[in-house]
Amino acid sequence: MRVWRDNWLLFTIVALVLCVATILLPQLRLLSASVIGDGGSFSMVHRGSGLEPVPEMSDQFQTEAVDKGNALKVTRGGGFALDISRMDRQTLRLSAAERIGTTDDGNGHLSLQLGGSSLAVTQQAPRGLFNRTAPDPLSASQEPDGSVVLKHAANAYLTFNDPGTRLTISNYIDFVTGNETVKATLNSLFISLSATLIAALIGVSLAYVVARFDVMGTNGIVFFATMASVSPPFLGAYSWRLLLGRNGVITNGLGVDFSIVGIHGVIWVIAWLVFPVIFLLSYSAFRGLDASHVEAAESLGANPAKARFSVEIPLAMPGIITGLYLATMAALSDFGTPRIIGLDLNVLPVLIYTSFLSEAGRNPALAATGSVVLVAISSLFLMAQQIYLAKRGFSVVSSRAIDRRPLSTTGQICALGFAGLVLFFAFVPHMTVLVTSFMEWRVGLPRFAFTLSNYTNMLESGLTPAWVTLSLGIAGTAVAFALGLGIAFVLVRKRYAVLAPVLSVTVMMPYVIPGTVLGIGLIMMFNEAPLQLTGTWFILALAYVIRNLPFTVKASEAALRQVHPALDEAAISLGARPLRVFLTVTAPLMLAGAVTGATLTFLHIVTELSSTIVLYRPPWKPMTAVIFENTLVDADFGVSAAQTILLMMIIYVPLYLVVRYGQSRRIENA
Amino acid sequence: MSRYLALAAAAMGAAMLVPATASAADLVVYTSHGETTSSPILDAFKQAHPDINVTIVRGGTGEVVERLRAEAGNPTADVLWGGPTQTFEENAALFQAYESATDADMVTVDPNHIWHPYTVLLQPIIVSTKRVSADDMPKTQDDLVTAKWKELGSLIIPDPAKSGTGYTILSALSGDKGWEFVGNLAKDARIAPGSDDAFNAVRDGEAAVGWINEDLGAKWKAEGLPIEVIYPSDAVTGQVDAQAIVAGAPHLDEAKAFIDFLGSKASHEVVRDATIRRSARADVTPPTVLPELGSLNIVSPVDPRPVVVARFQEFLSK
Amino acid sequence: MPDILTNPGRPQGCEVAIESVSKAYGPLTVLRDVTMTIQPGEFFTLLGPSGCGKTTLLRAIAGFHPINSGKIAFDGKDVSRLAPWDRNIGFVFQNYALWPNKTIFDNVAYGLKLRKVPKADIAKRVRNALQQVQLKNVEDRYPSEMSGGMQQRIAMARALVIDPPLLLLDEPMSNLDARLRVSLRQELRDLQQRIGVTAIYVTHDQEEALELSDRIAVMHGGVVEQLSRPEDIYARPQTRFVAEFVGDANFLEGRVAEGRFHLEDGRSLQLAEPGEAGPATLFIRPERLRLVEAGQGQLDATVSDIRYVGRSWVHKLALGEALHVWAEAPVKLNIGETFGLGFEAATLLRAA
Repeated sequence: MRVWRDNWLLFTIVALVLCVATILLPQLRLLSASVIGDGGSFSMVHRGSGLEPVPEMSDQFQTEAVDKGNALKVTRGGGFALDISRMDRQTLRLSAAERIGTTDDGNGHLSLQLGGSSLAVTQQAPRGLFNRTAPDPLSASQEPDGSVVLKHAANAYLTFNDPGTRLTISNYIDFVTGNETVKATLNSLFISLSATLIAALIGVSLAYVVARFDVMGTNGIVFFATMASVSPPFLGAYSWRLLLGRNGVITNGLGVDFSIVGIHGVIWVIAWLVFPVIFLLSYSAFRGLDASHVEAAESLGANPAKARFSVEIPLAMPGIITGLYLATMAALSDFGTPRIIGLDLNVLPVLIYTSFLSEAGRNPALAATGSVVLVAISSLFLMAQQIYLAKRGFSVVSSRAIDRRPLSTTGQICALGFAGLVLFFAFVPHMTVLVTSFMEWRVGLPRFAFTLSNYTNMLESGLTPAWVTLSLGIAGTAVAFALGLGIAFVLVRKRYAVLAPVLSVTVMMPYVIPGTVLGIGLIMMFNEAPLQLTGTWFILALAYVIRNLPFTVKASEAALRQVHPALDEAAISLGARPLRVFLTVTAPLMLAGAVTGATLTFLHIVTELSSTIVLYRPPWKPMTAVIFENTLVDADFGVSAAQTILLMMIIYVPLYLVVRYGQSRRIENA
Repeated sequence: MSRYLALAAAAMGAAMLVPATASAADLVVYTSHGETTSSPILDAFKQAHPDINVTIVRGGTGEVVERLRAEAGNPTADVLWGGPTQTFEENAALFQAYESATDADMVTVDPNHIWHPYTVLLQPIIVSTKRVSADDMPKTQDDLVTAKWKELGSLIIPDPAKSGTGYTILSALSGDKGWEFVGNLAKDARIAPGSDDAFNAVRDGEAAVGWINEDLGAKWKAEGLPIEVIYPSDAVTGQVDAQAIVAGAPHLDEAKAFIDFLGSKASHEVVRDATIRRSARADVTPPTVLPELGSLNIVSPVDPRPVVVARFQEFLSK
Repeated sequence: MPDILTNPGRPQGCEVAIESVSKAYGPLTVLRDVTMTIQPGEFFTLLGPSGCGKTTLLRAIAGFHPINSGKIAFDGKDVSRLAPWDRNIGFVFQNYALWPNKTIFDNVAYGLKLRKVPKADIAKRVRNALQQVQLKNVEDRYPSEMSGGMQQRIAMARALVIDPPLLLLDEPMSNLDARLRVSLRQELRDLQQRIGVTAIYVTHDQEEALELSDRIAVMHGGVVEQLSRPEDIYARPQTRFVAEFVGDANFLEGRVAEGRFHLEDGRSLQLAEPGEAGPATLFIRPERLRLVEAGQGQLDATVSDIRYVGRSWVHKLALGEALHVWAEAPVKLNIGETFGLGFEAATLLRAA
């Protein structure tokens, strides 16, 4: 068998099976949940004032009063008809053209059989606050004439539910006609596009200035932007609210009647959250320009301004567009910011989360439908980006790096001022948290009194979340990276027919799946034996690996393309088998270029919020979940601030090490 | 290759065992009580039972119940602590009965012994003094139905679909004043995704007026925050807060010990003194800063939750 | 092949038999029914322009590309289905393919470690191999610290240290500058002769091929145009492609009749070996064309252009309106002068 002889083919098949099971199937599961509806239900309330239908709680069935207050007729397409009339305050008679069957399993689960379908009957009865007796239970008895007599509690709501399932697009119809859902969708689109626009204005112009002019401290600016790009996602919202909320430190201090809470605040905070990615990609695009392209324009008489808009920006466009796309995606799928600073603002990720995880308004079908819509919007953005890149799919291979233009003193001051201002805004949240972590917190608000108690409390209450975060970060990075390396190798070097393209598409899918949606999909998929993973450390690790796989595969592919195939073949010709070639030659060579990628994966994992908040269960509760919850519940933020500082150390120390030492031993490749 | 696979499998297997062993000595409590409300009790419990290590998972009532539902059959939690009694009744299948000796000492009791009363929690009106002048203070629930609130920063209502407190308030008010009243309330109101969001919004002045759990309101008032807490003269909504043992709890003995402790007179004195809540024990007097129950018209939920959620949804989509 | 590993004496070069080998990438055929046998110890060159299939053939011998049909045998043993890592060959890459993250020692020792050679022996053999390619005390350095020529030698040492019976070289000198190339050529040839390894060398540089090889196969469009000793390739090309690709050439179209070669304009000239009658192309190298006084040769021609190429002058001689030949002379002639041409060294190429 070829499969057994070719280790890589075996790996490809195993990787494909794993990816399909953990990426594709949960999404299909979500999709199917969005097109499956239950068999419908109807409700009525039976009080002293009479028997009334409750149309808000009826679906598929029509209930109409025949004798107002005394009798109802229930119908549904397909010939179903049921008559219900009151006998006394707690008794109803149910009759139909045919005989009605009843079953009672003794545990209070009562059901009726009628017209080929089964109806589960439940009652909900009010109970006084200090009442010591329970409502009367529900019971049904068969009458000789085929009707059923139903006894229930006083003043009860009775719900008849058909547990059958059917294929339906009604969830989608509800989605596009519902006030809340349409608003949430429009809000999401508006926020993501306008935040990206603001971030693009800041990010692209700063990138241009820093890339093309000889600005002092360029490395520092780029490093700070990199730091900002891996900030914990909820940090900004909380800090800005603390400063500029109606009761914020600054608004109170200045006595102004202003609040950042609302859609404008969400846009503002998200713009600062996503600007670094636009800046970094635009910066490298501008740095990647070939000097001769610009010189050619200049030799033909273009002044710098003309060359900028006719040559430099168009040539850098693929990089800028990629940055814009990533920013839009981040903005679209951000859960933390709108949840914290939006107050009553509804956006898709929050809608999905709350309709999946809430006590009574729980609506998995709505969550699934919202998820599908969100993934569809993301996919449209991706398609737009791909179409743009395909049309203008050139890559500028820089043969001679462009020289930075010198700046006059005034120019230098302006450029530094601009960069300083941008970085100041980007780091306002970090500074806020640092300062407030040393402040005393009372009833959810900071007081101007220095204290270390937040840190001592953090140490006392245990560092378990830090360990959970670290273990997930390290294990997730290792697995995502090993898989990423292997898959990239298969995609770049092996290119198996059918398998490789399918693997490639599957592995890239999480690119368009927001964290909330991914989490819900995983719960739907892995909540039952034998694949019961919910509530374990593994499901978090799995989510993190999946979410980072597109990134690690792309990074490894890039690294692999730098490794000339002859380097592999040299080892093969000397007698090394494929796996050995990979382990002793290819992987070490890729690794050198890919450590940065691994670090970023680690940083993504330890700051991941949107899938964490859906998936975590104790005792596996990562720091992001702890901090986020504390910002919402009435807990004091002090300890959370201390934890955020710890999280930032977990993030920024490795980042600094990689930036400082990662590039020092550059390996020339063949 | 097979060697590597075997190694990987062994490593996976070893790692799988970790969660099971790590939780062996723990009692896992899901709670909707905040840090300030829960830690005095937890400290007292730790003193009484130093051998039991309590792990706390916090979330809104809706969130923690949903976790329980998702975990049904394979629960990690032992106790759900917090949430109105209705929540426990609606989700009775998620919990198991336990007849605690302390149940008899309470002002109310679950005849099925699923839930065990903890506190009586009223929801007076909270007003932001940043937004509302003394002349405009509401005195009754009826006063909340006027157009002026929209100009001042709106009334904020916790979504009953996502908040147990929101449900209690709306169900009780609809029972007392009818659904039309609730419809009028909802007309110009902002809807918060959780009760804490609603409370904090009024505290910070993001919204003008809302309701608050009385213990938190008393604490905030004592801290001098810019709020006013008002017990409306026509009706005050209230709920009984409870706890229950999760069905299939992995640490049943510890869970029973916790339930018994939460019902004890000692812990209810802590409840009264440290958290400013009305104990559900008949023999514990209410905190001095709170008004006597007898002086108030207490209304409690009437319509069940799905009805309230569905009806409220109807108002919102109008 | 344990004997190779343990045997302190060097193994003999192996015979490589290529039988009817074809290879296609989809619709594109790159090797068509190629057959050749390379003798043990031979220095054999595959010569041709890019795209002629020479590298594909070399890589097929190495096993990097599976072949569609045919057979490749080393010393009579069919290796067509053998994985490349089991073929025990030395391969030198165009870009050397030294692993940039490994020291020179680790690069060279790689094949020995795979063969589980004892540690002490590895050090000795690596040192020997580096000595063979004239390198000393470079073991601890990294490839990026070495010049192109040194990298090329290290690549050679890495391929040879495992004592392969067959050494495959894929344009190993194409990245070097002209002077270095010339000096390395001789070294390579000496080394190969000393070791006795069979070498198959791919190049598009005809000079290199002529100087190095025992035999050359000139390839074009996936087929072998001619397989001969270098002197035959140069002096007696069998096809116009070979004649054109190797060295400079004059071609005159015409036909053979009555023992003479008739140009298209009617003039004719006497040949030493006219052969059969029929259409033919007359071929002569510029340096073999004899220049005599006007009227003394077989045809007269007038100098119309002159190019200086260093060692001599090359003159364009017009035979008529659109007909000219190039002739090399040690002295510079004058434009406009007329000379007689002697075609004694010419040969005839006939369409296949």
